[in-house]
Formats: sequence, C-alpha cells, structure tokens
Amino acid sequence: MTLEIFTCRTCAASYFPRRMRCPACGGWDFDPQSVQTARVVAVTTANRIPPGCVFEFLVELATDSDVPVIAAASAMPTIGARVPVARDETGAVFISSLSLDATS
Amino acid sequence: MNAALIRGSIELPYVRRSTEPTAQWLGRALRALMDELDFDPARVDGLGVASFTLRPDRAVDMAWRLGLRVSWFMDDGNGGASGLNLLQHAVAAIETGQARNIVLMSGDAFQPADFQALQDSYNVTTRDLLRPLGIANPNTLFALATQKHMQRHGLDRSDYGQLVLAQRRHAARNPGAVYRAPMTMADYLDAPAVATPLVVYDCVPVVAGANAILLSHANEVESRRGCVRVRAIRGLHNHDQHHGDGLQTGLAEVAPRLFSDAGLRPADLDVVSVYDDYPVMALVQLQDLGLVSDTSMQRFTRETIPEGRIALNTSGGQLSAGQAGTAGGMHGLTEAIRQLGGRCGDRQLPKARTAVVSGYGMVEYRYGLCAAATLLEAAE
Repeated sequence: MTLEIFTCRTCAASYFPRRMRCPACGGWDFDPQSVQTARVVAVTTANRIPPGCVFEFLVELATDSDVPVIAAASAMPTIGARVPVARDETGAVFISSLSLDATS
Repeated sequence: MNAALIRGSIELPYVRRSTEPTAQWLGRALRALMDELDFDPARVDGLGVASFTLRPDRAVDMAWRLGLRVSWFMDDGNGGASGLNLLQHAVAAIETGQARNIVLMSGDAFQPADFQALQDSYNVTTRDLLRPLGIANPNTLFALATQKHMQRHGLDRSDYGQLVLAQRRHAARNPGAVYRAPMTMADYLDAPAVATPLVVYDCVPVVAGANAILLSHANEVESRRGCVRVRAIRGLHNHDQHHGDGLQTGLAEVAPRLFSDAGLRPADLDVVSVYDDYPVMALVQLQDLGLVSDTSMQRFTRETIPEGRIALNTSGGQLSAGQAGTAGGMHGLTEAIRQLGGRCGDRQLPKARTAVVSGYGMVEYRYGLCAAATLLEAAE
C-alpha cells in the first residue's frame, strides 16, 4: 500500500494525518496524494522492541511538500537520505528499503 | 486580581507499585489535604478530578464516594496539561460564583492492563498510526525531538544531564520522591539506553500517587497565611496546527501576555516548575517562558543550571519524584504552592514569593498539543 498525504482542495496545503478542516484556509475538502519517497529528518534506535515487531528504528521523515511523517524501519537510515516509504495493512508507515538514494 | 485564593496543596508519597485502587489514592489525598489545612470537607462545594485510571468512575462519582455536595465539577483527562486546565477553570468558577471552596485532585495507580488500555484509548492517531509501528511511544517520539533540539542548540547529552542531575539534587530533600540517591554525570551518561539519545534517567519513573489542591473564594478564607494567589493563567493549545517541529509550545505566544497580566517579569520569579516529562521539553518550556534565550541555551545548561542559579523543579520534578499518571500535571503546581506557602520543610527556599508553573502534554502524533502556565504569588 502507498502512503497518502492529504492536500486541501482550496489552497493546496498538505497534511498527515488528515484533518477535517484546513488549518491554513478553512477548506473542508481534501484530496489524497500518494507519496513514494521522503527525506530522513531524525532517527532513534529503540531499545525495547515488542515481541514480534520487525522494526528497530523510529524515523521522522519529511515529504517533498515538507509534511512530517513518523515511520519505522528495520535498518538504520541516514539522516538527509531520501528513502522509499510505504504503508502496510495495519496502518504502519515504514521505510521499505534503504537503497533508493545512491548518496545515502 | 481575581477572587480565588489557593489555600494549599498536598502530594501523597509516590510508590513504584500499588494494588490500591486509584479512587482510594484520590480519597486519601483529599483527607490528607483537609487534615493539613484543618478544613472541614463539608465546606467543599466544587470538585475537579484528573485521572486516566479512575474510569469508569468520574468526578461526580468521587463526589458521591467522598460525601461532597458540589455545584461545580469537572473531569480532565488531558495528562500533563490537566493540572493547569483544572486550575484555569476552577479560578473562573470561583470568580463567577459557581462554587466557594473547590478541591482539585489528580492521581493514578496503573495496573498492568491499564497501560494497554491507555494506548488503545489515548486518541485516534495513537491507535491508528503509532500503535501499528510497535516502537512508537513517548520515549521514542521525544528521543526524536531531543535529537533535533541538540542539533539546533549545539548541545550534547551532558547538557540534558545537567538538568537531570540538578533535579536529583533537589529530590534528595524530598522524602516523597522515588529517586533520591545522588547521581553523577558518569552515572547519567553510562545509564541504560532507552531510545537514542535518551537513557533511563531521561524518562520519568512510573509511580502510583495522588495530589490535591484546595482553592477558596477570598471571602471564605479566615487567614491568608500559607495561601497563594493566581496572578495570571493562560494556555494555547494546537498553537502551530501540529505543523511545526515540536520544539516550541503555545507558551511562546502567550508568555508575554501572561507576564503582563501579572505585572511580573521572568527575572522576578523565585520558583520555576516546568512540566518535565523529558529534559528536552523542560528546556523548551523554559525558553518559551522567556527564562532562557534561543542563543544562550548552552550557557543555560552549562552554567545557570549546574550553578543553581534557577530554582527549577525543586521537588526533583517528575524525573526524580515520579509520574503518577495524570498527577504529573499537578506535581509542579503542588510543589510551587507548597514553596510559596512555606510548607516545604528541608527543601524550603528562603525566598519564595513568586512562581511560574507550566503544564504540557497530550501527544498528537509527534508532540504535545497542550501548553499552559500560571504565575503565582504568596498571598500573605
């Protein structure tokens, strides 16, 4: 599944999670936009991982429209790198690979 | 000047584990407060309660359990923001004649199932977006905030350690705190990791406990000895529409008005209580309140704090005293009221006429939505 952010139909401001009413212009209608990649802003290594959890790193990402997104990763991404991002059936947003950006 | 006077506050000694129900903790807090203030509970006509684990009971159920007939009541489940929120509404209730003597109480005694229930019912964002990640929780979220803060201000781990150590020094004189043993910087830096760069001492110890405060209309108060006035109280929630980096709260916007309401300046303050769920957020609130400038955060952490030039979280704060769930939102308020009322025993500050207390909390996805602060003054 792809990650979707939500763009105000009136002023084009984007958000994640979705809002009901646009904080920027007060509009009530949003369109979903697929996000394939995002930039890594901050990374933390979790020391306590629940049984069965495949993720070890919590990551703050920024989309191209500067929408912050919290994601998880199984391998440690580099701050500043551009990474592919997806969403699974449970709703988890995760970094699907570290191999997108040749310079990362 | 408003008509409300805070008569006093109490905090029951926190414990790491308790099988005693939350309602019992709250009831004991009321009794201890009434005993200390020699106040007849039958005079209480307003009740505000903040608790995660009191459910399915609410404030009105506590009124029934405690035999209180109330013309004003309020439930507040807003965590670290609850104490200030209750106070804000209680002062207004007294000003508008809704009640004459209001008790505010806050407390939690978590049982194992309560932690899962809290995560499930905290808010929709936590349930639907953070829980599925498995590792998204306040520790990892505020670890991310700490990293960004370190980068912005050129800080290293020892800077946050200075705040933790300073509060531990205060806790040594607080018999109700759960962490009282002296701590060195080496102890802090070498402590077990929780989520980089946070270690166990950056995270509040979860405890069971309860706090309570009594406010009265000034006309009800026989002697103002030990009483405290609310000179100003303001909050701003969802201040940046959750579009920021989490390193500023609504206090930055309301602080100038807060101080002008009270006719005080940051330099006038004798006691400072900021909500210390994590060291980074304590520093953020201090900056937002105007107690440290953006360009001198390093000097603040490396000189002002270790040299004891600020009376910060003089109970030890939540980081040493413990966080009894929602009572964390009333902990700093309780301490400031006791300092201004001259009731702090061995840790009583020689000069304690004015205080600022802030509350912060309710994580919506990446950081807290709520922030509020009050300026207090000894009434006598």
